Amino acid sequence: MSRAKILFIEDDLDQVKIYDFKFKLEGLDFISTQHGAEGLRMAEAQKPDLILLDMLLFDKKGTDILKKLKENEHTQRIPVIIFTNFDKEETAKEALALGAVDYIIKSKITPSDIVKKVKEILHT
Amino acid sequence: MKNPLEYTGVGQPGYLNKNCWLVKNLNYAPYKRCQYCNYKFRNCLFLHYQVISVAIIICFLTLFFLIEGKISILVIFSLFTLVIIYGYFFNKSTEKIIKANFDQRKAKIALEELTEKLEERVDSQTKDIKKKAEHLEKLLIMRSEFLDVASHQLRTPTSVIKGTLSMMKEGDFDKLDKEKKQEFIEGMFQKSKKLESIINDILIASEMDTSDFDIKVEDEIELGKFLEQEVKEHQFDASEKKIKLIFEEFSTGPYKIKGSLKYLEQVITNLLDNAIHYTSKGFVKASIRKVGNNALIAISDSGIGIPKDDIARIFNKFIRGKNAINVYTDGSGLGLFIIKRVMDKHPYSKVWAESKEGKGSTFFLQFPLLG
Repeated sequence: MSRAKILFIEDDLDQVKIYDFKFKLEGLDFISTQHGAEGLRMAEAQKPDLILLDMLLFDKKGTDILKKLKENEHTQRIPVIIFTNFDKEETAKEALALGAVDYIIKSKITPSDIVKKVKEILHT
Repeated sequence: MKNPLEYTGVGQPGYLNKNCWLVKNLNYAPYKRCQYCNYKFRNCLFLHYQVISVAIIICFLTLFFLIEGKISILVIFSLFTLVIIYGYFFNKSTEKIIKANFDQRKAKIALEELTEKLEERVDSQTKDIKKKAEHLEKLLIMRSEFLDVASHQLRTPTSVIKGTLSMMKEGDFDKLDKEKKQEFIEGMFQKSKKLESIINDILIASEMDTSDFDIKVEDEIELGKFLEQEVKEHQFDASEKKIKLIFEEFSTGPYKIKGSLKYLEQVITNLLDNAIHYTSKGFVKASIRKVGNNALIAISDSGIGIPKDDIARIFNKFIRGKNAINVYTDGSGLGLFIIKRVMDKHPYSKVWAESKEGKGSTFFLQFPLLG
């Protein structure tokens, strides 16, 4: 069985470095981009098994990207976890209503926790 | 005939006031007009003198033609006296009624005027309260937006530090080579510095809100070298984003000014941080030149720019350009507010911005040169 591929759409390079290291260490393929528009292209072209999506990106809002992912027939089945430090109830509700599988606050968990969560979703 | 006392309102027919002819003097004319309201009155006193005169004539005619003798004259004079007494009291009572009505009317008008004034005052205060409530509501929304973003900014470096430390704790770090380990430690160090700067911004902005906030403007600073040094310190951040950070000196120095070194470091740092964070590609340029007896610093970038409508209020607390609200920034959202307050405390110095949305922004700082 091929390794599961995770796409991380995140504009903070220090965070990308941490999760890139941790996910690869846990046997998962890890690709990332700092830009929302690029993330949409990568999701369609590279068909990741799961997307970790930040909320406040340099060029786009996370919910706008999520909406586009869910509207596109090639990407709508990919589970999306909103992985952000933007802790706002309304935004979380909006994201879940748009089809995100979870809304996770980065500072509240460790890299091991998010890997565990991703694996759980991939196995269901 | 209409009762003038029933009329109301200044300038309206029958308006009654203390100068009204009717109240001031009842004289003998059969009709009079109120000089204020132009109302035509029948004079009561004149009426009674008419009655009295007719009565006297009747009495004398009766005496002359019909009756003779002293008793008859006495009766006639008694009758005459009674008519005079009746006329006198009738006039007095009429005058009293008019005056009482006038006082009542006066009190009513005063009450109406008072009510009107009170209503006006209540109306104006209601408007004032409504305006303040709307302002507070806007402030609360801005504060809430600010808190959402500020908490995000505080959590971002925290999550990097926590994430790296948790991997160290769990032994993941041992699987890294020396160079990678160093890279993670450097990332953690930079984030702790960022965290410190955000906390500082929040503390300084709170301090600046107090009335006794003051800055000691007594350090002699060579602005050219100072700016060049600040640019050097930001080269790492710019190179991480693959942005060119340039320093340019357009005229020959020195650029000696008096200022607060501690706070001006914060000003330049905030401006360079903003320029780098809001620029995804292109350049950030810090330049200095002499303009008359002033030193002029310009920090320009090829970033997202500031919408025209937002540029006037960009130095207010909690304000970001509309195009910057939903984009990632690393700052506290208080940077420009702090800059404005610091520059206001430097005599004859000022800060302003010019920008084109989508093209970039330039922030200018002007200081008077020494000597």
